[in-house]
Amino acid sequence: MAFDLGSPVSDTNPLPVTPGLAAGSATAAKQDTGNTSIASVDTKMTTLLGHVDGVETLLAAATPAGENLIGSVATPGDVLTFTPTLDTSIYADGDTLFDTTALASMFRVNGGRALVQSVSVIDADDQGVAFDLFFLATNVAFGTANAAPSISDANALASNLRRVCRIDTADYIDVGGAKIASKDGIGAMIEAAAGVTGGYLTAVTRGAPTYTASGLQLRIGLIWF
Amino acid sequence: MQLAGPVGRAVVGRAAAWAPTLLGGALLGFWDAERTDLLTKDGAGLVAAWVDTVSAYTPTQATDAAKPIWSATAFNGRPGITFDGADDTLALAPVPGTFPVGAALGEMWALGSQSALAADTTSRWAFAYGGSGTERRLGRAVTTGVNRARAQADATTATDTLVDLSGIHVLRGVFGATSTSVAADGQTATSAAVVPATGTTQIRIGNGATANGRWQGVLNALFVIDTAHANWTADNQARLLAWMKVRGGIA
Repeated sequence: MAFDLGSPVSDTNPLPVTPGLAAGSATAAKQDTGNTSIASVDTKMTTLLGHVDGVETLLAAATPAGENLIGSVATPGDVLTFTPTLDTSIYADGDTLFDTTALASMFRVNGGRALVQSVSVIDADDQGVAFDLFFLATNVAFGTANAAPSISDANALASNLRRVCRIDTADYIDVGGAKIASKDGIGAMIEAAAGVTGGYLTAVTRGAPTYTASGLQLRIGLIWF
Repeated sequence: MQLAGPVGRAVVGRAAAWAPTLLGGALLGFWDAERTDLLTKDGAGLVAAWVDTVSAYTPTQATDAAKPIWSATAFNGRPGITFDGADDTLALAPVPGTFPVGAALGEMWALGSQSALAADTTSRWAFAYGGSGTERRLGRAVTTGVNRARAQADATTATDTLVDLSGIHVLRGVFGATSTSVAADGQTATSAAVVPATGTTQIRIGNGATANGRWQGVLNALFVIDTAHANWTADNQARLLAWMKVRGGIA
């Protein structure tokens, strides 16, 4: 009977040990035969078929460094919900809409890169006002909400300040008590700071809206690298 | 042999775009935030005076804290004047003699962005003229939790029921001899019966003529129209509406 490597060892799929165990009373010769059989089993479990050694090797080895993946590849992106804290007085054109605010898990790995593919806006306060959305890699002050931006040159450089996109007035559609806007195919490449997977967002209004504190919700579509 | 000329209005080259100034004598007042040559403002954009393009009627504000702010991009990426809803207003006294007063026919139009939230139930006026209790107003009110356009003649109001007045809109108030009506974005008007007795005290931009209720948002253009003038044709009314919608990016 041929041994089936794909099936467990059993009565119907015995391990093919050679020579087989000798029958009858024990003798020195039969013990030698038995030792040979045991050696045969050991060889089949390790060197020849390699099952045990293979598993041992996998278990004993350290998790490989780098980007090796076993099984299904991780989702190469995400859509993150972001609700900034807004000022509740009427803004003036060009004011900071909200100061630098953290958004966790913008990147797949520490210091990673991502492509901002889309930004959608739910304006629950029905304002429909344009704004510029910015990304920062580090947490530096951009400006006080409802006041002109005041970020320093040094902080702008250190934070890799980058305008992700502008949501225009024309991007909004009215859906009754709210307005929604979508910006697709943005293609803005952003990069995390070393050692972290989070990033920061801020924005500048391009009109004179009035919001409740949580009146805007953004959903950021990211493709990861 | 005689040759007949072409019938109609043949145009060679590019035709000039329609502009409100083509309303001619029907146009009694036109404040345009895009005419920076007619604005008096400081380096921060605080507006001290806004001059009308027709007859140079000039509402003013002397107090800095009450001056609205002009910006080149505040209104759909175009120039606009932002009123804070708290104290910003421009005023001119008395009402110009050319404006319809008493029960005379007239219209007021405004192109602006209305940003007061529906939870704020204060009636807020973009533009008004008249006297105490005898004024014509055009602005916004909240009814059943929704922002709406409102026109008011004396104590009588007409409030639109069709358009949510959040964001950018065209407001039109029609002040007739026996009724006042209001419409937003060219939709069907809502009317109320009233015989106006409009006074002559003052014009106010960003406020009622004699009452609080300040506009919260941006204004781009304001008009006063002589409804009885021959130029105020249906075609020109449609053109003015279309012109304002283009400016505001209104579908």
